[in-house]
Amino acid sequence: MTDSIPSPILANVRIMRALIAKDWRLFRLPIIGLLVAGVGCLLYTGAFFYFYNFGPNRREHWDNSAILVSVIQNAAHSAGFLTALLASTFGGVAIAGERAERTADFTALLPVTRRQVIMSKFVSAGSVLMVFTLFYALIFIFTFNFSEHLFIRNYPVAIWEWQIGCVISFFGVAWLVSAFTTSAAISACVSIATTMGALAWMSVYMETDRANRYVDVGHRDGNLAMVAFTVGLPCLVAGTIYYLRRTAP
Amino acid sequence: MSSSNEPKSAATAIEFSHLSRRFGKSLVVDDLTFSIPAGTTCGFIGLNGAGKTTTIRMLVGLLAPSSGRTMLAGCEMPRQRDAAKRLIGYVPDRPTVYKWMTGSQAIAFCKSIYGSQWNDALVASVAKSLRLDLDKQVKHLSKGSAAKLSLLLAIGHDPRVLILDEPTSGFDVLARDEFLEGLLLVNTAGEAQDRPPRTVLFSSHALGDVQRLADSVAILHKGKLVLHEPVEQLLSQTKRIRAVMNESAPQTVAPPGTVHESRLGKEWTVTVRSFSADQVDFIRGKNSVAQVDVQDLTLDEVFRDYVRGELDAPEPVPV
Amino acid sequence: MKIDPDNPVPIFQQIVERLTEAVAAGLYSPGELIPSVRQQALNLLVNPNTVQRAYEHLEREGLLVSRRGSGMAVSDGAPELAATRSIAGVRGAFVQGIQAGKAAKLSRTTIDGLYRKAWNGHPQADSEERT
Repeated sequence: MTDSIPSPILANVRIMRALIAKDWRLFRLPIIGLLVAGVGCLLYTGAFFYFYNFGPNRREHWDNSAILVSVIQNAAHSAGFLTALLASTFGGVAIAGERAERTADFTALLPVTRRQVIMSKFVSAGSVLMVFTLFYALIFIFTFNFSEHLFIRNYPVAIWEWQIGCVISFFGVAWLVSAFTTSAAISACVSIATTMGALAWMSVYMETDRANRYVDVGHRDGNLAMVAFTVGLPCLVAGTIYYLRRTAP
Repeated sequence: MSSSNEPKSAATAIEFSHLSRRFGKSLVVDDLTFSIPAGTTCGFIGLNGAGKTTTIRMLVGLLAPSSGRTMLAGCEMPRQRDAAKRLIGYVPDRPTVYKWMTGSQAIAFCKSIYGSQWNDALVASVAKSLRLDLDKQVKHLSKGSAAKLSLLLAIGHDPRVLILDEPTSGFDVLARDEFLEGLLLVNTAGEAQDRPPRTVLFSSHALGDVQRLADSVAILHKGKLVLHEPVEQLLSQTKRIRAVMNESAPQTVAPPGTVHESRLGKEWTVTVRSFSADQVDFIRGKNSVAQVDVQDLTLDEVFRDYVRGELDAPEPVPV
Repeated sequence: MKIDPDNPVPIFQQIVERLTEAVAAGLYSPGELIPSVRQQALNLLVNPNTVQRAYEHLEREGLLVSRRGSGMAVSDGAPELAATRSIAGVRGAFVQGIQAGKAAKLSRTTIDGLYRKAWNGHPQADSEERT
């Protein structure tokens, strides 16, 4: 009984739209988390700027604009990292969250393929994470010309490799783990522990590697990105393949 | 309208063929074999833990069998489950619809997935008859209303087969009556258009409901099928023979076809399948009885006696 | 009209009996349509197939006739037929009472006395029927 709508593509679009809208609503809590993280970092910026300009220890002779730019960029950098960290909650909620609520059974009985279900989760989670990451990247781009004396100007690409690698790793590990558990929290925690562990290992390794002790930021972030991709991508792929093949939703 | 996964039309809508499922060491479903003809309603009964939910989950493709095969609407599950989805409706024991959705949102969601197969008129009329408040979020609905919504969402695409897993468990009496009414409504709703009747499989602990609604009944015990028979036949052929003995605690010889027997003082009751006068004669002939009478049984009593009989039977010696 | 699944009498039989009683009591007149299979099934909360079988049984017995396009109607000779059936049903109830009395080892006199008491105490018995 195939769909009698003339174009199966239209039907697919309609189905994907419904699934993605449903998944955005499913990810409501992690999205709120991202907003809170972003606002939190912004407040930090504001507080810092306030205390530097109006607080009891204000420094009138400092170059305020340079400080401000530095603070904003650090805030964006932190917010970006928090976004990556919170990607783990997306990974956990995506599968484990639905299994815990048994809504995965509901979707499993609807005429949607496993592939469509997964695509919808990737698109909805990915779009949100991308928007936030892009926003913070834009802050860097916007403040680029004001940061001539700061090292961060020289290595924007490396930072974003690292950023994207982290997003993939935090999301990917949680995605894989949540295929085996019904707890989004456990998936997120395992993901955070694994990814942070891998990053920490690489950081310590670089610090103790005597020959490369004073390695530059770009190199450092490139290494961290490599670790993140190495951990995240296989988990993402393995989790996807496993979830596509198994019977239980 | 042809594809390699096109389900074959079948006279039997549901088929189990040596279906088994193991969890670790325990065999939860054991070599289940029976089939349900299209257009009939089958009540699936058994104690808690008998394996009903596991069987149903394998039937709808939510769980893979350890061995054996199950066919639903001509599709082998879970291999061909994508083809079967449009033909089946499933009402689980607890509502699985997204709790933050309202009834209307859930209907709109299903409609956008099913497309032209979704029958708006049917859904609207059934929702009205069920007296469902479609503007409330599912998490604010009572148990009975949430189950009615699950039923509504399961039939909106006019499936050929409807499967319900203990749909009225934990319901109060009124909610149960309303749900049964809803189920009957949705099953008879297509009759005006001369559609063939739906096939329905439902598991339930409310044996009165099974007796009312089912054409046939399948009893599951410890994963094994005890029997699968038309309800009328089962009830007309299973009888309880009550004998008053001449003395207390004599040795008794039960007739062939005994399902369960019990003794209390001088009273000896024997539940037999395939009742005939020969069994009464046997009891009179082989035992010292003062009086014998025969009782009809309700489905509830038949089930209890069959299960007690199974529990009393000696455990098979492992080979 | 209600059926009772806790009663060992098969549901199909209960429907036949209830309808027969209804016709005998004049609830449905000859020529009048009875509720459709679907309506009756919804009313009684039973499988429509069971109702269908009961209706077919009553049609075979001559209590109902099928009206093309409209459903089932009470036949012209139905009230008398129903009364006869009802008589059989009442006699069956008395036989059961006697059986119960005999199982309790009561004498005929005692059982007759119980019968009289039942009449006198019955809410539907009028003054002439009480002794």
